[in-house]
Amino acid sequence: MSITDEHVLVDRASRGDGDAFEVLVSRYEKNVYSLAYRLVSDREDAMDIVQDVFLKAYQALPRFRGESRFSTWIHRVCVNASLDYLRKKQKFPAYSLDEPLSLRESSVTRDVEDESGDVEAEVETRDLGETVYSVLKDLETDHRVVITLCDIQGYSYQEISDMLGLATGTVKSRLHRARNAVRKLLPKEHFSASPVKVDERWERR
Amino acid sequence: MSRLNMQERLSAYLDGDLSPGEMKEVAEHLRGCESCQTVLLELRQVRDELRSLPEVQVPADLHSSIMEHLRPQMKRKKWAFLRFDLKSWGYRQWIPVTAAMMVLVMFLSVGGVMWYSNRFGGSGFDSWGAKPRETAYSSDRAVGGVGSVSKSEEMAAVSPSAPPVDPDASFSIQAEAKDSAPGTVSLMMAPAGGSEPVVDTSRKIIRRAQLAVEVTRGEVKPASVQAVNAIQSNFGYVETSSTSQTDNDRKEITSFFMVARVPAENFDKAVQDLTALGRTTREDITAQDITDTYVDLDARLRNKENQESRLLQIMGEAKTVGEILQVEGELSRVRGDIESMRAQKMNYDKSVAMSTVTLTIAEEGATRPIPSPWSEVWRVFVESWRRLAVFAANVAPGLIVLAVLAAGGLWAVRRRRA
Repeated sequence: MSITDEHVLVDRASRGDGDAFEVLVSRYEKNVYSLAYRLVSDREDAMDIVQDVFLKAYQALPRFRGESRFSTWIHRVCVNASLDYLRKKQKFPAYSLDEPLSLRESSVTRDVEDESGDVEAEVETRDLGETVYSVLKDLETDHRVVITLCDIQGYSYQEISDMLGLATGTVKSRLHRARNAVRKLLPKEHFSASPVKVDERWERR
Repeated sequence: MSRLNMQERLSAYLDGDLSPGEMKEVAEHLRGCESCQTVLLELRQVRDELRSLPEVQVPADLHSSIMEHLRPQMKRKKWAFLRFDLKSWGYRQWIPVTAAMMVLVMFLSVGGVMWYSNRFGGSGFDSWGAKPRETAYSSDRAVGGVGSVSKSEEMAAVSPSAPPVDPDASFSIQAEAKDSAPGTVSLMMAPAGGSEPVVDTSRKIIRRAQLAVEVTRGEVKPASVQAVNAIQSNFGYVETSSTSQTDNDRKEITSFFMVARVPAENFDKAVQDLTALGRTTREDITAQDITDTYVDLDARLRNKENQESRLLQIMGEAKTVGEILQVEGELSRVRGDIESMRAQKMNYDKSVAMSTVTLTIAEEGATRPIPSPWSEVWRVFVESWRRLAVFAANVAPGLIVLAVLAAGGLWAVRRRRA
């Protein structure tokens, strides 16, 4: 691994240079945010997690020994923080504003505006991958993390194995089992529809 | 080929993540297996649908809110070098601080001990031992010429100490009252001996002298003979004496050391005789007034003796075996106390009657000047480092083994984490 500007930035930031850290933040905040969002599927919670991730990273930076790349490390922190969050949520479930409020006879959608995101993008998400995406929630956490990292966020096996501290073989087999689980969870009718067109961003792989 | 294995292979096949041979194998299997074809298609659809999820819309205020969250932390970090941010300190930062503190503590404690002993004790560290309640009088001085300190003045300066405040205090006071009017005060129990004066009124004083004289080279032997003669002419006796050769600065030095006891009344004269043997380099006279302790001891002893006779009387009147046994147990305990008190009293009597004189005779150049407290501190400091070095040298092999083990452990832990 050659010395990159990232090394310089990490080194400066670890000695308390806030500006250097801000550069690192702007470099990774988007990826970290979308990872957190995909894992916890709540915008506000994702925001909280991201803030927390960068704060933790800043505090822990003096102890970051540069054994892995900073990007891998920050993603790892993010995965752990998101999993912690999910664990807490499981213990103390809170009502989600997005979920339909179930009453005895009928269900009413809570009429609260989602201020945080771009409405068009939300609609698009629902159209295309909503069914598959909603099924992900029912997966085992391990499977869910791997499939999110690989098939949604598009990290390589190597990157994922670094982030999770697993062997690449384990990552692969988990991914395959996760896909299979998703396949089984989806209703049969889902597959009768014509296959979707793959985004160009996947073509380079 | 098991089903699960096949499915995993199908997923890998989809990603092109198999060896060419395996790819071919799976392709052949697919040709003949319709259910696997379906699975493959479904898996592809799952993968592709997930891949085609749009990128997450990042909130516009993401960066600013992260930085807002970080700011308080960053401000603190800016002054971290002024503030002692102990939490972020690793062992690297602690080592020099700990070492500096250890050195400081060592220096201060050694300095404190030296200061204390030079100020209060005659001969340093051993003055910390437990001693009976004392009104010690110590004159510690280096005398240039022949010592002519008037000891009688010093003795007069010894003030009677305050009455003791332990449980036996009442007896000591009563005993003194009895002494002023013999036979009229009776203690708790009738004294066995009747009305003879039980307490010696004169003050009980233990006197000790520590002397050192220096003689010209080769004169140690005749001087030591003279010293022994001086003790004998004062009706004393030599307890121990020794002559030794020491190599001091590559110069052979003969020295003589003696501990002698002389009757208290001849103490002053003996000291005078001995200091006249040569140039006096040290003359420490200590007078320890043990009157209170002695009177106290005496009273307690008499009380115990009375208790003994009383117990004997009770034993004579005892009716049952149980009673006898009980009294007997008590009696043997009292007798044990009496024995040890008598021994102590005899010891005091001896010390009071016979003063102790310690004498060192050395050739010129053998005695070092009495060091100033701080040079002594320095010496002890250097000495402790020397010992530390010896300690380190002894411990080093063990430490090396430990270091190797620790490195191995650390390596294993890191490997597991990675």
